[in-house]
Amino acid sequence: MASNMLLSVFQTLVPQDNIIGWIFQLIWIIVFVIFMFYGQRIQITIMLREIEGHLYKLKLMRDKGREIAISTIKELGHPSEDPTARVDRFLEHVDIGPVSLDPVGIIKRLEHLIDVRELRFKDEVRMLAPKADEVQMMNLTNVLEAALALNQIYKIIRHFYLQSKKTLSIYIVMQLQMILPMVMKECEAFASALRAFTLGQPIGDGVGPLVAAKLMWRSDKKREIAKDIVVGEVMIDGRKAYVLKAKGPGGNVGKPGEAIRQILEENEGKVAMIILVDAAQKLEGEKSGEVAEGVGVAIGGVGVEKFKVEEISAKFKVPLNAILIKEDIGDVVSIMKKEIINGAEDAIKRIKRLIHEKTKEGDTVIIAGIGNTMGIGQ
Amino acid sequence: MDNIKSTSTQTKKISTIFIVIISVMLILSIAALFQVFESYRRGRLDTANLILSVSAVTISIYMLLQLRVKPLKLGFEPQKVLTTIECVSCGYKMTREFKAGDFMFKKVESCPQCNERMIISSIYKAPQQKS
Repeated sequence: MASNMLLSVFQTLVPQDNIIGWIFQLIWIIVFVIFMFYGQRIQITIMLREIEGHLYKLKLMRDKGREIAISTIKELGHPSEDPTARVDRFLEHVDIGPVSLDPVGIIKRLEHLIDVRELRFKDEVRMLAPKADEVQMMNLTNVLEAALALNQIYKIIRHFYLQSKKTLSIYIVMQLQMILPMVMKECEAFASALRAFTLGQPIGDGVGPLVAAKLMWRSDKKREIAKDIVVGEVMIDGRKAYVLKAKGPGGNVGKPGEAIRQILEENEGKVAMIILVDAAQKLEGEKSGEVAEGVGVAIGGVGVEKFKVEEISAKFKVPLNAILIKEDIGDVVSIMKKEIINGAEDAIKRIKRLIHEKTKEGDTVIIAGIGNTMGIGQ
Repeated sequence: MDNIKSTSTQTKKISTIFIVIISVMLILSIAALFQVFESYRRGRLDTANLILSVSAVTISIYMLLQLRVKPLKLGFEPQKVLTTIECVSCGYKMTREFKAGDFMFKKVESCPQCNERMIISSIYKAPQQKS
């Protein structure tokens, strides 16, 4: 009966011998003409509406991030005056990179700028939270950095949204729409990170320092070798290992490149191998906590520390090995998962195997755990 | 951190009158659709009524489904974090909820089995249980 009815409806709508048929013919023609001339405009409007939804979410994230930063500062730092105005000023912080027209010495200049930035952030946090201890100070710096990132991402997306709305250029809208899923994922990770930072909980990026801490925590010979980097001497399979990581448990990455340079110079380059352990972004389909091995310097960031390690290891001809623990981009700055802790155990087994296979008894090796050591002591 | 916890409890408030209106609209449109079928059975096809009632059914179902949309998640929602404490001597392990001030490799209370020192061996996000 339903098929007969559909056929009857079709016959009513298509022929032009009744008024409904005529109305439908007219509607189809109008729709066709509208889509012919305004199709792109309609598409842009739909895409803009979608971007608007994401932008609204980003705004909520930015506001909540700011709110958490202010309340955490009040709670931990007990400031004498309301920190809101100072936090708002901090959230508008801008970094200007070094000029690259003449690339000679750019790494040194970049390092200087990073040092100045770090010092500035620490001073700012000290003023915002005068009663916070050293570890809380480090964690607060991380909280503010996450809030700053959320604010900057929101403002950049808003800029392109308003620009595309103004110009009605489908090319700008399409680019924005294409990158938005990745941007949202990153922002959700920052939002999650903010929570972890306020409580000083270990994050996924800390898997490198976790591996190093697991190797060095029993060592009695621990010292601070470079800025915010701790090195411990341990014996692994008859080889002397210098295990280094950022000084925890405050949120910190330190200067591992500087530490490796100093150890190599102390030992006059007589080091059989350098092993760098770091978190790496997994590809879709790979599992969190999977471990991969490779050759090269596994240090992220702007490249200053990576450059230092490459330069000094090339000077002394020391082989560089990398152990990577795979993680999703969202896991890197959110609270550490059990799979990642299991990955750290697997990484230790691989380090021991590498040392056993590639070095001799009595050799010296360097093992560096790279990443943010928040919530991980030594 | 009370303010952070409070954000997670946000729920989407839906007006009861709105639900009643949609429900009435759905019932009426189904009744109209039924009448179209009845008149077709008697040999008369009311096309305009058919189109209108089908549209009304579709719109009301769509609106009811939209009401079921989960509240906006921003990523600030609190997560259950666990701390595992391990005895370095006998290997005794215990897991409890994370407390402020916990960090990995922190020396904590003595082992209840051998009275030796214990350390926090891991802090991790509790796996989410699938409902």
